[in-house]
Amino acid sequence: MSLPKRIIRETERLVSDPVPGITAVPHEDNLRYFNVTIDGPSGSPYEGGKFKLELFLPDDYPMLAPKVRFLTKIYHPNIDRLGRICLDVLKANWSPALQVRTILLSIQALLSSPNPDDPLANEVAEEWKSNEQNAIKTAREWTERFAQ
Amino acid sequence: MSKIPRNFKLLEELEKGEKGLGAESCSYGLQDLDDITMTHWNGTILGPPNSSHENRIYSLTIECGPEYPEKPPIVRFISKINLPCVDQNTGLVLASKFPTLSSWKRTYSMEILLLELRKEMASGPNRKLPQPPEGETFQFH
Amino acid sequence: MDAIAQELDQLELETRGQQEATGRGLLTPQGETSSAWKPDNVPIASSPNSSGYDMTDSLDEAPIDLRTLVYVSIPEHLNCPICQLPFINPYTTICGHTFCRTCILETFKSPLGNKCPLDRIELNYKEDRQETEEKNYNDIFPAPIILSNITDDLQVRCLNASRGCKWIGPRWSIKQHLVNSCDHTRFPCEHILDQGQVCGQLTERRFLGEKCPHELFDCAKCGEKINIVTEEHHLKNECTKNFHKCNGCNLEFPEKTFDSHESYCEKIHVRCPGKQYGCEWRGSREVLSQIHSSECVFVKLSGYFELQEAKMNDLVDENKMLKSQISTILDSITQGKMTNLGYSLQLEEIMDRDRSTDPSRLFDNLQEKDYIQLMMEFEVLKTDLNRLRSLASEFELNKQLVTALANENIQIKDELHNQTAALSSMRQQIQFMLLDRRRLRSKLIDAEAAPQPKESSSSGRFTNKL
Repeated sequence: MSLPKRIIRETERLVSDPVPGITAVPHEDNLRYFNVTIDGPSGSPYEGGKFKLELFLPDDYPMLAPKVRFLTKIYHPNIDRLGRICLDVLKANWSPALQVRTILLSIQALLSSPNPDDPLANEVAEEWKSNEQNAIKTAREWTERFAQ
Repeated sequence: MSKIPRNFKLLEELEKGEKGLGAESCSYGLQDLDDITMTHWNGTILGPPNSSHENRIYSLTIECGPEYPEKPPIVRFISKINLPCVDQNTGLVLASKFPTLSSWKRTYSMEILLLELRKEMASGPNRKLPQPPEGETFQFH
Repeated sequence: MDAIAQELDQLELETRGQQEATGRGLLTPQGETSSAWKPDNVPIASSPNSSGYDMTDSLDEAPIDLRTLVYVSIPEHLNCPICQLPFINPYTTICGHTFCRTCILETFKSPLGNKCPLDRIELNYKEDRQETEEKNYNDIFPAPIILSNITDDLQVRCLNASRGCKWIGPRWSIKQHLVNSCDHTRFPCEHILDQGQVCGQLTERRFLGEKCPHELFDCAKCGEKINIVTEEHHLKNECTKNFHKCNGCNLEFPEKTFDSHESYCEKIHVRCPGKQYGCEWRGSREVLSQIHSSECVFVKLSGYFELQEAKMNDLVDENKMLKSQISTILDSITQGKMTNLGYSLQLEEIMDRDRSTDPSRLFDNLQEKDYIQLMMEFEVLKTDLNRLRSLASEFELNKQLVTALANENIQIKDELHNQTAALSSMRQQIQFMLLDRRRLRSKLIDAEAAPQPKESSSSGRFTNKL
């Protein structure tokens, strides 16, 4: 089973010219399966945290979006307890012109700007809307507890 | 086909179970939605009609280890059942007597497993096996 | 990281070995409408030596998958945004973006549907569009020919590079090279064996000749069984008796260990390590280490030189990286994306936001469906208005009629009044005449002294009636 050239080129670039604050390394036994880390963006409650994710490029990639999930527990209205992410470019708004790189950047941007109006984790979103101060405090605590 | 990693396969199975896209005669779901490793699952099987299992609902636990789906999950009945492939002391489904487990393939899923167990209940010699009264459970130790 | 890069290199080599039907003339993918997107996912041959190009079909049908080519250098601007390789049979959208034909058509079958992958504009496309259709053109069409020419002219390496072919040439000539001239392209060996069967083994062109290249013979040095195909490999890597004399120490070593000997032989002549900085000295390694290196000024300075060189290389690398980043940013901007700047918003989306506040641009955003609906509503309103207009004119008419009637009514009233006045004056006259008559009669009765009751009662009745 060989890898489409596009995946080879994307991987080469991710390794040789990484995005600041993001790493993505393919598994040795499955080059479509990546270990990803994203640093919490500065100015967000996730600042100082290092978040682990996993990413898989399905057979039909790039016609279908990559599958991504947080492995580190995170308090965020658009990320559920199993680490699943609610992000338009991962679902309906995927386009084959997007790349692993751009997706990871979008996830990083999601950490900077949570969107409680389109929630995946309902309790978190409620808290975010009713008591944002407290929600941000919890997010900061979780970052210290789980994302070090 | 490339090999889908364990976690993404389990997420797919979970989504199928959550959305109720699977068969109606069985269901499954995560025991704990905070379990980021997605190891422990609950399953139910609706007893097949025209058998001594008719109208009974059997609960099971399914444990998908780190090597799932290369290796089959560990399946255990909670509801008491009289079936040759189920250990009568622990409720464990015995791989040696249940081909779906002994010749497990990575393309199988928990749904296939539950449906195969249901088929096993409805198969010729097992269909009319006398069953313990409803509501009894196996004792874990 | 290095391990990964190596692995990727290995994979890249492997992908060269795969084939899939391609060729517009020589270069366009064939059968692309039916094949899935994964153009590289063809099982590779199992033997590790086979990564290269094999001719198993007739010459005309020889398929070459252009996607497996290795380019000498890839200008980012000529890459398809989908497969990220130089365009193959490029097609352009009405929104001005260009993709490989296979890639954009495959996108149309994906969940994104008939939309531009870069700005998500709806694209109208039908493979077999009829001239009779209302809209008989597609929203994607072949890119300007100059683009195909530029991409077809990109320099590529031979698909047999891993077998030793050093050829580099323009992409349009790769097929010509592989089929007609590359010595490393493999063909089935056509020699008839003793048992009457065809040999059939895939063999590089350079070994094909009058004799079957798979016929075994004894190695002239060691006597082991070899054939023409394996001879080179055997002599270089396996044969223990293929001696090679060292120019320095005059001793003989088997070829397979010769390279390692050369690297440590004390007598062999080498150049001064300071040669890159200008030292012309040449001599045996022994003398170098014992005498020259302690005297040579260039060697003493080499540490400094190396430091300078390393710094310079760092700067060159940094420069290269910055250049590539600038080019990606420029690329993103021209393609209408801003994703690489850390935002997932597309430029068009940002513009849309501005646009929505500008009413004159409102219609730009309308979908055809909405437009039709609006048109229908407009028609309904128009008929309503017409009906109201006719009703209004009717009402005007009625109003005139009513005024006319009112006027007439006043006239009639006046007349009636006149009549009443006339009537009452006549009654007064009659009453006066009656009174006059009664008086006359009573006078007459008095005069005749004979009362006549009957007559008076009838006249009284008459007075009552009036």
